[in-house]
Amino acid sequence: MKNLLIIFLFIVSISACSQKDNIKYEQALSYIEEYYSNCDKQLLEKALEILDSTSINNNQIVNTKISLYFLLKKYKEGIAFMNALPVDRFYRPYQKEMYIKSMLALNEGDPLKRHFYYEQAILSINSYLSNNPKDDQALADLFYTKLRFESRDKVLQYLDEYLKTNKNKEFLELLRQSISKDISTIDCSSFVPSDLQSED
Amino acid sequence: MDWVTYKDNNIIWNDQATSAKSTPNGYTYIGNDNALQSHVGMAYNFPETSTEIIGFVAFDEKVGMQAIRVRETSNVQIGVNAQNIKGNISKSNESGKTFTGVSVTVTNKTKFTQVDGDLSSSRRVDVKYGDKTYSRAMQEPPSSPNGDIKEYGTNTTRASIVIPASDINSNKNFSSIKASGSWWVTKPEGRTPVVYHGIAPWPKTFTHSWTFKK
Repeated sequence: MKNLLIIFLFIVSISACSQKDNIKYEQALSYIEEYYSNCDKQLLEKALEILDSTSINNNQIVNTKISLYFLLKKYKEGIAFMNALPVDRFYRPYQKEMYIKSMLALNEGDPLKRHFYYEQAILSINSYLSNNPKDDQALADLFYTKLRFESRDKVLQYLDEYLKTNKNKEFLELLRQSISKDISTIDCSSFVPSDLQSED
Repeated sequence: MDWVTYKDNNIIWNDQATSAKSTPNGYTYIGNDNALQSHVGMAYNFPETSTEIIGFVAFDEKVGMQAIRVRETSNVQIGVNAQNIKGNISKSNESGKTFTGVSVTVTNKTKFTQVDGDLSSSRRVDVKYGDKTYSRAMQEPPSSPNGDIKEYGTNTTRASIVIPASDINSNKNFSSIKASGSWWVTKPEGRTPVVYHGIAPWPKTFTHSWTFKK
């Protein structure tokens, strides 16, 4: 009887913690949503603080934290966070490396080192694609990773070369029209209505 | 029964006017709503505009964002706005029908591949007419009283902007109509945007514009 009571109390306490964490997650998402409407980075700091205080580490929270590390340019923290995640939690085996190498490149001031990390990210996607050439998701990862570090014109040149030999023509054409601008030119004015902008 | 103008260029409804001949002295015959639109220089047909993109969203199943397809289509319609106003009831206008302005209605349709939750969008419409800009957020149209059957993967939003009759005159023109916005995945916990990519988590946006030659 005593054991049953302990198990019951344990289940009740776990359920209470999980409910608290869900409320925290909702609060963090609302801060992030507000950030996308006014570009106030303090809201992102608050969201990250809240998520850091949760006791669970499910995929929802992991995905949200990765976005926060990119938006806040907290690459070192992001790398440490992702290093602790097993590869099989990602959809594809190269994705952990793609995220980590991208953060390493973005954190690097030396252009040569930056290029080195970026090439490593591309290499791991290409290696996956050589065995899975029809994987649309991986193709999208490849060209958007390129776009993070190269000009739109150059990426479109790569894409046009790919179009000559690849059979996923419809998807690649759609990807071509989706690559509408240089990622380096994206700032708050790209997504916050002009009358609502505050600061970058 | 059609629209007529009086000496002072006021547009009024006249129950007897059905042609220039049957229009009372001192008034100029305009005609039906379409004719009124032409009269105020607002008769336009707008081509449908669309955008199809690949964007990225997170699914809860695993870590890392996944590519989805989104297609956004915008249509514009311009129409005459009229109301029955008691104070304007007269012998020649028994219902008190009054020209209150011109409405610019923009309807957007979003089609998307499967996401975790529902994909809606945050959009607004800006209409520049004369020296004024009229803006409004787009919203889901109200559902019918009997309930609606909604196809998964499609959402519709609409905004109607009314340019009041007092702002309309033949010296003014439209300069642009613009529908713009971004896409959001809605779950019970909150909303997250469709972004460029997991390593570039800024919202993908669209702008559909119609411009007018001066």
